[in-house]
Amino acid sequence: MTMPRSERELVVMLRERTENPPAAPERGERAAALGQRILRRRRAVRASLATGAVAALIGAALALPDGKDDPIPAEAVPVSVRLPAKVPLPAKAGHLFRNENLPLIQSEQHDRMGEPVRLRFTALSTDTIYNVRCSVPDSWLVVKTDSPGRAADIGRCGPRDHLAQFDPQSAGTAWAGRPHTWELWVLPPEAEINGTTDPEKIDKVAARTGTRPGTWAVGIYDRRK
Amino acid sequence: MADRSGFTGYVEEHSDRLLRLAYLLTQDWARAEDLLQTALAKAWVAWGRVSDDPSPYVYRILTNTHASWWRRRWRGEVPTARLPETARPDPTTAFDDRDAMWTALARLSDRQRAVVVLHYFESLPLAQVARILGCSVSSVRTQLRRALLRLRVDPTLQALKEAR
Repeated sequence: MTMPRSERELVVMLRERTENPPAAPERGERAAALGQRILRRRRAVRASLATGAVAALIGAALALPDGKDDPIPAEAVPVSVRLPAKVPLPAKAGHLFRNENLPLIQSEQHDRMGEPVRLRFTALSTDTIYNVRCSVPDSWLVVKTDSPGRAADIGRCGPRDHLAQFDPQSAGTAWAGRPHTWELWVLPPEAEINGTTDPEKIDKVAARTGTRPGTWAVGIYDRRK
Repeated sequence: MADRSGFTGYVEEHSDRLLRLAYLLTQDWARAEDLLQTALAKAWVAWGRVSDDPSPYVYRILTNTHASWWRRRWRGEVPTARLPETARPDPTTAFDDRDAMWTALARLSDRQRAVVVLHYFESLPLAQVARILGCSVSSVRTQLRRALLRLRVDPTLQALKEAR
């Protein structure tokens, strides 16, 4: 049993953890551009509600990016993406005393962003980990799983490991020993994704963004039989 | 047309601090930046209404947006239900202890984490935390008590240490 900590220690920990945040110039300009987009969408919805289907079509056209305030698309980096052969069980997940590495049992590499990929694999244990690396920093990654407890994830993806693992509740009781089919999307950094984006409608976001070259790889790590 | 002339100045003055707050909610700098961008964009839209005192509004958007993202956002490593414990207290492992506290912070509910961060990092009184989160002060107290319990923080300890 660890000793209780004081409030002072909590404050110190919070301050220490937030030292040296990454710099982000033009944050205000980017927020204003995103705010303008929100306003344009709202006006388009209002217009469609007010004047019916014809206006709705115009509104949809207005809601499309006009390119004026959109960030410049990231340069595609046509390099190979290599996944590590093994990854450790996450220490922060309570496996502190299980110094164990899981081997790569399956992987796929793709060279375009903006296209859906179906990933089929069989989970061999309840410790299955998936890992995605994207050659273009700050790409968007959407993983639509077949797990009832956790239907979809949206997150950023870059050249480093992006590891994730279900906990037993999220995975569901029929996780191990069963084949799974997931749908993965990797979209360019400028894709219009924000806190209101519905993962189930990511195909529409992808259609607006378009496809472009960009290597990414996904791997499944698990215990071999 | 709303007057948004003060928006850029507000962002320049406060965004580093707001990013830190977002990081404490998300524990991921990239996600924190996304969360902050979303909150600032919404603040930009509402600037005509909130420009007199935008921070409470931005705090509310940060905490609400993070709560709505949480279920479908990339979580990275998924914590288990128990804290990593050492067999006995080790005074030489302060950093390990803070690591454990950081891990425990990730396991709090969104509301509990928001209460902890707003109160202990932003130093906001509980009444103001309650206004930001749209709940009663007693509810905030309850959330804070539960959070401290899970973080193994004993509020009486500091007073005892200072009395020594």
